[in-house]
Amino acid sequence: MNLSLYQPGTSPVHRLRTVWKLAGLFAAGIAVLLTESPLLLAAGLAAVIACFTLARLPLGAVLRQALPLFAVLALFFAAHAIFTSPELGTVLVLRFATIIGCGLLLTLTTKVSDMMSVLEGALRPLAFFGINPAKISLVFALTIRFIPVLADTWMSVRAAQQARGLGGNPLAILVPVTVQTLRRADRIAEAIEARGVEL
Amino acid sequence: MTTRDLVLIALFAAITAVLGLFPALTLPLTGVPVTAQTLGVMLAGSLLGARRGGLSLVVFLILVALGLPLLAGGRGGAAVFAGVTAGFLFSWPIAAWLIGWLTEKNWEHYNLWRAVAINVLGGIVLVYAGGIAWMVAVAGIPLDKALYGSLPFIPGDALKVAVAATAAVALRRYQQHPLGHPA
Repeated sequence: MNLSLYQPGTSPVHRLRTVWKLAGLFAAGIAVLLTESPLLLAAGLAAVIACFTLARLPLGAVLRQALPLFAVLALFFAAHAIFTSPELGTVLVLRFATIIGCGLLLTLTTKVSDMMSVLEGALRPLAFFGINPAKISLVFALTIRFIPVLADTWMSVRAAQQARGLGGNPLAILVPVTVQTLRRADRIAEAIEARGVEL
Repeated sequence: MTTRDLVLIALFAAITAVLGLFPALTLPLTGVPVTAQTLGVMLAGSLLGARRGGLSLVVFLILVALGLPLLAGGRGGAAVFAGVTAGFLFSWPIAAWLIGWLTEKNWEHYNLWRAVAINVLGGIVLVYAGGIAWMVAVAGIPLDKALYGSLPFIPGDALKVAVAATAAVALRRYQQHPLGHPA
């Protein structure tokens, strides 16, 4: 199971530091709200597309993420063209498309681990409020670790219930999976405490 | 928060992710598969209570924003939070918190009807209010059009409420229930 959208590469976009990419996304989010000129917004969108070319991303990976988002935007434009005005629709669609493009570019060119270390850095000041950043990091690490494990549990429970003729019943899968997850949570918590991890 | 609370938060975030991998429900009559992820919202609230349930969904959304493809259909990344329908996503942690809070308040006399009412309030009313408010405020879609546009999703969500409420009531008998045992 591939649990990341990251597309490896060596382009300038890939090599840019994650903090700067995040700052760029944030700045773009504000910039598109400052103007209502379709021309300026289209220029912004063109700049984002230029960055995509610069990043040399595989087209399939881009389209897989972009198409569902842009399908919603197309519907959205149609709604505006019919109910308000095509001009307003154009401005809003350009805004959304630019920001969605920036977000997509960030996600496709940045490793989850790099994003995670930025997040951990941002969480450090929480220690002043008595919240231990190590606890938060543990929760994220546990979640990522246990997604494939729970997916396995789900599939084996589903197979077992199909063998009993209950494959089409969501409750017959959901209840056992939840019970197993609750049991597993208790065992993991005991294991963490038994190892003397201080949190 | 104890170690067990932290682990529960993490594992229910993982359950929500797994629900995005497998379409758990198919709409009767139409055969349209329904993404089951709001089922994760309802489960987290109903089983973990307000604080842990809400945090579990916060963890899930942060992982999506960091670039894990955990939303139904393998979507993820910062871009999904800029879309027209992002208001629904932002409503999830609040919905899990509300479902959890109401479940805790009603825990002594919890039954199927209360479970259904609680999950309708959090999983449908609150989520749709958040999603539609976002569409109106951020995307400029007129209110009535946003309401009509959301209607086709109601049957699937009603089905999810039925499943989540039945599961929550059945799981109340579990010995080590995170909300403890009612007297």
